[in-house]
Amino acid sequence: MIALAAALPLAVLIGVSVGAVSLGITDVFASLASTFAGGAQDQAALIVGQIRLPRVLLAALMGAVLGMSGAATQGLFRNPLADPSLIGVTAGASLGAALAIVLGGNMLGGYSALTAVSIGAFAGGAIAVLFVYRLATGSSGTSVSTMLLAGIAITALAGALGSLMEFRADNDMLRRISLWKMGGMDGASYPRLIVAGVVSASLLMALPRYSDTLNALLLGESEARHLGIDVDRAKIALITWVAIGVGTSVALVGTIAFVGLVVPHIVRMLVGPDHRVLLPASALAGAILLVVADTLSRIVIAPTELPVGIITAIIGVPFFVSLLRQRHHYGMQS
Amino acid sequence: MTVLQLDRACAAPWGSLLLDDISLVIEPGQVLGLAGPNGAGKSSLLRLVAGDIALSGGRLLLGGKTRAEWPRQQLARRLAYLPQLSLLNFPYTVEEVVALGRMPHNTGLSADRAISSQVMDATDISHLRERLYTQLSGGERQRVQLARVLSQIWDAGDGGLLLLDEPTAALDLAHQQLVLDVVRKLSARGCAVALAIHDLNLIAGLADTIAVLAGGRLAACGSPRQIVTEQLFREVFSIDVLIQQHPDRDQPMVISK
Repeated sequence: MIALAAALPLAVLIGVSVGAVSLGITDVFASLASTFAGGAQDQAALIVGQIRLPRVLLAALMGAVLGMSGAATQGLFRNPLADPSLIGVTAGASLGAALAIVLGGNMLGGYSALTAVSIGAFAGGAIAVLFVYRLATGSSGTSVSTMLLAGIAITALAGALGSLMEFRADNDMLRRISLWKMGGMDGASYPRLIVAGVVSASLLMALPRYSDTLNALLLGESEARHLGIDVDRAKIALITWVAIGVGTSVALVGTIAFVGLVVPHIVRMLVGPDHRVLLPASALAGAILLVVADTLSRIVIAPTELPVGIITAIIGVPFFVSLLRQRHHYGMQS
Repeated sequence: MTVLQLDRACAAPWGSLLLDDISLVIEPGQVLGLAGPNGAGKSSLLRLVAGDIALSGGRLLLGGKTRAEWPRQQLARRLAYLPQLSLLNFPYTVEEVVALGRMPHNTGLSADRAISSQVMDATDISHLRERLYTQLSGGERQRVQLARVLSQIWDAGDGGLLLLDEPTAALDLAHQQLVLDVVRKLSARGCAVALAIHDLNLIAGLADTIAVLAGGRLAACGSPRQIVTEQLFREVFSIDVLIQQHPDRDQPMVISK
């Protein structure tokens, strides 16, 4: 945990300093100083202040949101292989983005198009989660297993409608849709950073308050109820927060696979399932993974940028597989 | 103050009546044994009291109040329930699982630790405290879950009610005896216990009252000596047995023919 907390600033610093134009650590500090002091801006200061800093911070915030949301989802579904996208938010957001690109793409240009896509993605994610939630809620409360199945159904439906949009789209739109689906930090700017900051700060403060609830939920829903927990209210709150967090991240940086699934899983193997530690540690690890992945995406074949979703999978999978091979040491059964 | 009072309680969680016209009373410190063939409604009755299934008729009072009148947390401090099956498949340590039982309480870390170590001693799992729950045997897991509900109810005193569903099912003979000792200890502290156990020899030496369920109805209710009869076994369990006096203790004993 302490190691993770120390590694994050380091990753951010490295992320700011390397790229198509490489800067030394001292240059970075000087540029940061001049950015915040508002003094004369040389080229290094412009690169750091206007391009890299918002981008790296956005990656850190979204990584933290995805990591913590993933940990909360796995606790809520009592399944270490659950993923925030299970509740339909990712598929809904992808459909929303595709709709925005195909239907609105030619009318809007540049920055407003990017914003329209983000709004479409967020709205799509929210509508999908509402659908899934309504399907899984009956007279006897919300069933998480029905929710999982409803999530699969809605994901399939949104996927089909998304394909329909792609079928209708022209070549340019098609490329934008598929790039957006792979995720990337290239849309980073200060207004977006502010949105990300507000959402992630609320989420990172709200979810840890449910640590005890999630700990009890691992025993089973009725067991948690017998421990005096208002399970139905906790479920609604957790699903809402996860939907807001993941919806925002998909809207701002596209679908980034793997962070929400694998980061909490890896962290649980290292620190155990106690959510009082697991939630903040997953946030830190998610932030580090996404900052490192984004940095790599910029330098691997610089000056061209790779979509960051590809990198998260390429770094994460081997690490995850090596942990899986020795999972009996950690007592995981599924 | 009566711990639990059921007046003509009925429950039909899935349409058909699972529990029909059950009237029972449990006083502080009393041990109630639930017996009956498979599907008779023993677990359903425990789940009804625990609040997992809803009342469809009649009345259920816990400490003189209905469930809705209790704040969740306060009820959790005096009512604990050990289900037959546990779903836990996350690698908590034994100590962490037991500590979850203290969640409804705000007694502070040192009091919680003291209670945790007392219940771990009482259930003979102290030597497992660092082990992962997922790596334990079935009987060890059952004792850990028992320790968890014990820690929840340990300091409840007079108002406490512990519901145990087949707490001895996976246990060897020595640990079955250990569970009986723990139940006796708890009842001596004023906590009432209701438990479903198939082995009538175990329950006859432990319970103050035995309630026999058949087809969701209360077939008989009384002291072990009144209940454990050859006639009851013929009528409820459809089996012929011999009932003898236990050679050492004052309890009836069932011998299969």
